[in-house]
Amino acid sequence: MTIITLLYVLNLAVLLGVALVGVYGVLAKKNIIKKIIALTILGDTVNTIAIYLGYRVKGNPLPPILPYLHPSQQEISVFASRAVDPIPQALVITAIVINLAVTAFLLFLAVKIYQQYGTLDYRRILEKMRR
Amino acid sequence: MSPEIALLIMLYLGLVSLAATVKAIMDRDLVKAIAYSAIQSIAYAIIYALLLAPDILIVYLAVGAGIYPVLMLYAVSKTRRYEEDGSE
Amino acid sequence: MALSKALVSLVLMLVAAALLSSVAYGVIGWKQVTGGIRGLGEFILYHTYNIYDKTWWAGSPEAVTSIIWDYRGIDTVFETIVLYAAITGCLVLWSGLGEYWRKKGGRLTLVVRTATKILFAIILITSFNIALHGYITPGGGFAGGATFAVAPLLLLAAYGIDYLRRRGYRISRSKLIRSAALLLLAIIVFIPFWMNGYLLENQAKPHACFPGYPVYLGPLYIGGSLIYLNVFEFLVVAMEFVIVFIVFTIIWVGEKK
Repeated sequence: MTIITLLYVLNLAVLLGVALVGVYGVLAKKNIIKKIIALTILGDTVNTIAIYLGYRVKGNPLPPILPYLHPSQQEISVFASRAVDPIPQALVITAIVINLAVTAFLLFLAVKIYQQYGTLDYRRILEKMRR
Repeated sequence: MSPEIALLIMLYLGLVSLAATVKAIMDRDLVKAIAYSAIQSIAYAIIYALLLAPDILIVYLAVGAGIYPVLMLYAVSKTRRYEEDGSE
Repeated sequence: MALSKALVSLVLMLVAAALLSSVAYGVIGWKQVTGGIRGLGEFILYHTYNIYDKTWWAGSPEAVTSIIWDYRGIDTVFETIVLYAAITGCLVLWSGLGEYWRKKGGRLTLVVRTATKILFAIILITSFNIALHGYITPGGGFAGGATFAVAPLLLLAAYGIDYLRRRGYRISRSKLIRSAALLLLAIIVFIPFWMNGYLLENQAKPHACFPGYPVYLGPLYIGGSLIYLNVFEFLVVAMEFVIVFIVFTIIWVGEKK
């Protein structure tokens, strides 16, 4: 195993560990706002994993932006063979904006729940609902 | 920057974000949890710069270190600051 | 109790990873990937600013913006709809506020207020720059809108919420700008459709007879339809964030227990 492969796998393991902590936070915590914080951490970690899989490790990679306005034919070919994959980046931008919209709505809902029930602990909310 | 150095720095930043995430979820004070999640967002923004994704860097810096902490601080200021006792 | 929940989350992640990898392998056909999986990415990188072979080009040297607004433009249209629906849902939850701003804001000191004035101007100019040059440099509509969203926050913190109301700001004006920008975005999306092309067409294609948006305006380089789409998306996102922050400041929850 070369050093680059070892570092690649180790990085992926660390990112999956952060995702694991995020999933635990969503399941185990009782405060609603703590769950929302863990949900944002989980979403951002998954986006980072998606971009990480699109990185090009052999050779010196370039960002996916052509730096010439009047390129020659050879510059276009070199750029197309050396640049990083642009498709995961476009999909992740969409995912970031959608996560933001959902989180903003969830926070408004959390404040409304506090106004109705007086507490943010979901077990006490369930008790009050059953009464 | 060659890929080996980039991967090494990414490993260090990944461990920083792991430590910040664990502290964010374990803390009872919600304002400190929001601050730790902002540290984790900044570590991820540097990772995006190393992975040669400048478009995402701009969006994520504005969203993860600007809008999320502000919205959550608004929500915490209208409700309670500390988690209640008996919570895990 | 904590250990059981940790085990449950570990099992969930393993199940998700197994499901994802089996779906990905199944789509390829259950064999090893040789030659890489970047065929589509290399196609887009080769054709996004290929001035020698203009069959599939997108008119901008920035591959990510051309994917977002030209090659996969319908995804972005639906994402704008999702953002619009979420913000409208927030306003519906706390409806009945009207323009009733019952908080009296407090001002900070003179040093903070002067620094905020300078910073507000700088943030405004930077966000316009990021949004307008989306077809050449990294950025685009969302980046400009998200960067702009920080500016009214500074004003709210330093000057108090009364200041904005006294200066003539109303929530309905932000809603008007947001709806007008969405309408113009829809017109730019539908013009190729009405002229015998397909939705969100940017440049001329061999199978659709729309001549394409102009890429050069005299000596000036504008990137087809990408510049209009970026500017309108910037207006929509910026106004939506302003509405969210102002509403979040006004709402009042009642006595805390």
